Amino acid sequence: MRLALPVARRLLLTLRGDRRTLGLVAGAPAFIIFLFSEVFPSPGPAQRFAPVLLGVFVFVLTYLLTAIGFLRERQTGTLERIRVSPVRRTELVVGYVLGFGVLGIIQALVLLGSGVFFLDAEFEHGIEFFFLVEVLGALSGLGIGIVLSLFAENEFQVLQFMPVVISPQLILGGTFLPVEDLSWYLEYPARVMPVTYLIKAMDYVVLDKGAPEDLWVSLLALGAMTVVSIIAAALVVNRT
Amino acid sequence: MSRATDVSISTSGLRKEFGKITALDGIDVDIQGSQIVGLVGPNGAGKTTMIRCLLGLTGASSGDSEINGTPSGDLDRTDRADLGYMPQEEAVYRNLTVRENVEFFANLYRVPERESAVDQALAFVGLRDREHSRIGELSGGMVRRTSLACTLVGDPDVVFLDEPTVGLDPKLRSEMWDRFRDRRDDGSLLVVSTHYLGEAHNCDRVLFLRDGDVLAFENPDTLLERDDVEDLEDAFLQLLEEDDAAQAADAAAAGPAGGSDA
Repeated sequence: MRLALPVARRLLLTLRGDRRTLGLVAGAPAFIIFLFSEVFPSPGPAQRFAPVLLGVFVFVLTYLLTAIGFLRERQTGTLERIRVSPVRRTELVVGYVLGFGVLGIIQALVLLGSGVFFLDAEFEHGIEFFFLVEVLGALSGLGIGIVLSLFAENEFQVLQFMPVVISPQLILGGTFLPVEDLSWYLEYPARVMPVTYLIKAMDYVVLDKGAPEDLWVSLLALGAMTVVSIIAAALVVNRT
Repeated sequence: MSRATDVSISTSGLRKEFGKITALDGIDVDIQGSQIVGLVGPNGAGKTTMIRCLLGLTGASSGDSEINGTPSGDLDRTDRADLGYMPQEEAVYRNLTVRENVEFFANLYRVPERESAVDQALAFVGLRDREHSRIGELSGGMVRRTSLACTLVGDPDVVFLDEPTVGLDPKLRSEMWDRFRDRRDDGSLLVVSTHYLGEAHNCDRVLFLRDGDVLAFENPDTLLERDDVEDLEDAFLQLLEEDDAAQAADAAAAGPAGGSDA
């Protein structure tokens, strides 16, 4: 796994050289949360939507960055050069996991500050769970991003996956209606979507909503989905 | 610079099909020892596909290929530490500097004394003075040279360069071939694809491909003598004409049942 480190380092160095993306990662979530807090009164809807806002940003952004990043690796030939080098495909994916894990922590810091400052979020169960949920959210988005990037020919197609893969998760995952209240044919798909567990975990971490078991179940489900999506990503990396 | 003496590439009946298109039609080659092999042919001849099959980046439809005695599909990380590959695409990270790109690949190859190896690779391609420039700030020729430095920083024994000189001016092309000869003299086996037929005189042997078939695999001088021409481009054109004539004869022998819509 030694060669995962240079991959992670390269990823972070690339982002350092891409100031617009850095702005997107750090500035955009804070700005949107600020707008939300201005439009919706507090206490009230602003707090209700705090877990959703805090939970899904990292997931969606990591999906986008990974899918476009991997697509670029394919298009520019760097992925083929890496595949010829002594790096194992698991090291390549773990390198991505480490790099985006660090990025997830940076985003979590921004979201933590924004949540406290704009949404009066209180994190009654401590911020360590908040960071854990954010990083798991980032990594589940990462695996999906790598896998879907293989089906995209260009950046526009990566964006086209958003309404198909990401939006249903946001609509069904508990944002507007508890998953339990959905019709059975929507509830079952919702229960295999990472965002469902991200929102449920954030409900507990931010609003003290639900029982501790809900948090543990959500963490386990997110952990399992993260592992499955990363294994799937490692398996499909060579299919370029 | 120490180098393995048993560098080799071989293929036997190597065939690759993409749907109904045959990209490689049963290639048999045996290349032993340090040398520059030119992979020459018109666009779509199968040059890149052959390189990708040899490197195990894509599986062959049938037949075998080996590098240094190891089947392409079984190349492990130790085998791959001896391989260098410069793809046809840019294959560098635009948001990194020249030096950061070369350092990244030096890290992947776990190059000992990394700093001096990176310095050497940058000096080799003449980019020491631009090492802190981002790729996006460089000319196309400099980007290609960065890509070459990334390929060579691991000091590979067997090097595959896919159209390395495309888009370069004649002076830069000539400089690049000088670098390839330096590597050959150090004991490397280089496979260099190009569709600039005139560049083939820089190679020790030339594998001339057309529609996935080997039309010739000769020393450039032998090709010139055989066709009694002074220019390799003329020799290749002659080969193409002979191939066209042979195909026409085959079609005629097959009779009108073969069909023609001409």
